[in-house]
Amino acid sequence: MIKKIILIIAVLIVSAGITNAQTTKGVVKVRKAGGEIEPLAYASVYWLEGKVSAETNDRGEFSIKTNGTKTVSIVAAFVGHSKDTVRVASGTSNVEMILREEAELEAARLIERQEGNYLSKMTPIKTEVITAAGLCKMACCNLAESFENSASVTVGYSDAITGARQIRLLGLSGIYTQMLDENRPAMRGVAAPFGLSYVPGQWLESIQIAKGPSSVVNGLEAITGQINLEHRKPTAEQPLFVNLFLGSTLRTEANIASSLQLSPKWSTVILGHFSTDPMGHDGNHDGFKDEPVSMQFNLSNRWLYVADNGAQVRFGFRALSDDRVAGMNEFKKGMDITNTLWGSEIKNSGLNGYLKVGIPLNEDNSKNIATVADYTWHRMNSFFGINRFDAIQNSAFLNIMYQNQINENHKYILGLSGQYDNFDEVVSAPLFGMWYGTRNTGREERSAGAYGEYTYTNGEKVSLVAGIRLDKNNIHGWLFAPRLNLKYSFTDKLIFRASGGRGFRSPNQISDNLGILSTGREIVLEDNPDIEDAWTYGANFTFYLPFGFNENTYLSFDYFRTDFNKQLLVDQERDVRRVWLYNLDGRSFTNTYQADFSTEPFERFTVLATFRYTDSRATYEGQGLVERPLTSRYKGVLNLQYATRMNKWTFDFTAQINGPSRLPHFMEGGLSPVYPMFFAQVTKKFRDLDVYIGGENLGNYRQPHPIMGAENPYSPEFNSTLIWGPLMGRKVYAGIRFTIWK
Amino acid sequence: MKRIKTIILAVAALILVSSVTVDAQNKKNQKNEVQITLSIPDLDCPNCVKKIEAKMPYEKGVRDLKVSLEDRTIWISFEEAKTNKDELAKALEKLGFPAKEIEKK
Repeated sequence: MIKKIILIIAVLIVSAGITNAQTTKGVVKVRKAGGEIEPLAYASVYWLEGKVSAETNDRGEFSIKTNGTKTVSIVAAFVGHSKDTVRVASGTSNVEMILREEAELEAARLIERQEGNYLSKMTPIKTEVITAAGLCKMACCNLAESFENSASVTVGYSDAITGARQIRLLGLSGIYTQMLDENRPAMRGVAAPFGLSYVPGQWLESIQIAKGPSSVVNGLEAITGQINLEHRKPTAEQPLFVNLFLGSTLRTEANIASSLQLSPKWSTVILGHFSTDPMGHDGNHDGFKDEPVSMQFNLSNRWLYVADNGAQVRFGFRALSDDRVAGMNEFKKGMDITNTLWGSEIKNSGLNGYLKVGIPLNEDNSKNIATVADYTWHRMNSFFGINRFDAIQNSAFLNIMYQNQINENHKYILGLSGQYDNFDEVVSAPLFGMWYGTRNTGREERSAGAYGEYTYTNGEKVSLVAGIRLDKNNIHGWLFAPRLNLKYSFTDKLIFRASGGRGFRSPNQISDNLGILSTGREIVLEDNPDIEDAWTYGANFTFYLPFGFNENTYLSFDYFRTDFNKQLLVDQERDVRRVWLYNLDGRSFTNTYQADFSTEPFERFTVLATFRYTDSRATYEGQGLVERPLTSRYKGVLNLQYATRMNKWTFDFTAQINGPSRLPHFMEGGLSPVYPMFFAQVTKKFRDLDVYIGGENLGNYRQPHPIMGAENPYSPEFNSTLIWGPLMGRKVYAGIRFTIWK
Repeated sequence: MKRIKTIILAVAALILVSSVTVDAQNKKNQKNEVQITLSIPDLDCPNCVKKIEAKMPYEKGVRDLKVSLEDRTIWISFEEAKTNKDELAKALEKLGFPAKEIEKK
């Protein structure tokens, strides 16, 4: 099998080098004030995506070599004239562009400040984009800290011991959100619990958050949405970027990135990260470290090869090592635990390699074939008091897709993909029926499927993406998932989007719920966990409003609903001495309503306000359909940013209001308090150097007593998973970003 | 709750005051400033914009600038006493972006 895959990939790469080059030709004309049209000599013509420009001859004609993408944007410009842009198939030979004489260029049209967060106008799926500028709004140590300005995504601690963070999208745990690394599935299985901490924010160029079931191309696992991470690119002309960060808890971080263009065809980016939390801080004086003492090394190298015919090959690897020491303040690395000393050590190591090949199949690249291959090895060795969890994951993903752009209205993708997962896992803990037992919770899962996706586009007016997938899974049988996304612009100021579809994911009983090992409870695992199966549908209206400094003032309303047919529930309320994991028997759903408002009332001052309300319920044994515990009912975010001219100074302020969550009855029931969070940062730009200083949780709000039974960690009352608020108080930090440009 | 209000009010006031002060300062400075628009044919990628935005603010006399990838232009406001359009075009060329045409506004 592996030989065959290698052979296919080799054939694809070789064939990449033998496709012909393309030339796009046309003529640029000018419409005179009197209305007559004539050729325009010496006008500038650019190919937007490539790095090629040309000039028209004295008959107004031009030709540009447009190797690469199947469609190209050609721009014609001439000083004192309007500009014309057309999007055509690469290789088209009769492009006609008409410019108009214009008195003057409007200075107002030139403004292009980069916003931090914005809604993409073009995509059929409502996509929230956090740009590099947005990622710099806060120190953004890692991915988990990159969502503070977003109400769509809530980030919280999974438990009070391990420092693991988890996101919530549409009111549901992040395990139902498919994480993609440049459109390759990432952070799965054993690599998931700490996955957010393993993506340094400074490695990223942007993050795209798409709510709803999204595309079928990347598999079945997107239930509440997809979050795609775009890393710094090999083609960025930044041979050196260095970021150094120091926090008040002595958290220290160093990031380095180097993008090198070795030749017109070859480029590479090297990304490095080191971070450490050397202190065991205990701000709430419960005898336990609020965050683990940790040290992480992370290294990635990504390559890009662009052939003359536009074929692209991307490949790279990532290596990771992370050590965490948590538990009681007295507990240090290498110590033995005793019946009075509760400690935890978690060691994660990971390797990932990938190869992506895209090959045009005809001259204008309207037909192409692409393949994505990805391999992940991840090992976790950990103990939590007397409980142990050791796991090794080997996962492989292969996706081969054929894309055909029939014309500017119709496009389809057909593909085959496969996922292989081998989880070798052993958990040792008080298991059901045993005072202390050991159980193999691993599995070997193979899934292969075919998919098709059709896209209809009618300019910016309508777009529709309809997809289906059929997969055969060795454990769960046939899985069928249809998905539909629609965008309709009533006017260019009022856009409607709707989406619906089905998603599946195989639950990982321990790694999805690692915190349950940091309790004193007996664990009751499900013998035959079902594959989780849910439908998500929703709609959005976005209104662009005619005020503010630019045209990007908008008001947006969302509604999404997720309905589970099958789900693995974690129930701590059925029995106060046990944690039960079992298959859903009844209903489980989540309704999410969200409103976003963004404006720039005057130049360089932006205001972003969002509010989300969530109603999340599930049927638990003995309780019936009840509100999901520890799920915040609402979140409001207000972000203000002011920048001086040329962004020499940038001031950011974010206020959050976090709504109440239902507390389990053994926490005395009721609701958790509503609490605010404040973040602020000031950035000063110098030549090649940014210096920033900021603070998180400025109101110093902390969840009181986040560890239940902290005084007696070996009793059944001991529980670190009952988290509804921040664990860490006020933090201040400072850092620098240094960039050398080519 | 009272504390929250205080923090929000304080920060909002701070941002407003600083923006008004800086704007007033800008307006005062703008009196001695000249604006030009340059056409940059090679401006064809978001990274090119980032590079110009990172480097040009630190050229002598440059007070403000806006780069448009869509229009392939740069609008610069500068102090006439400290620099001129030829110097600015030279600085752009040094960054790898020859400014092909110059239009004074």
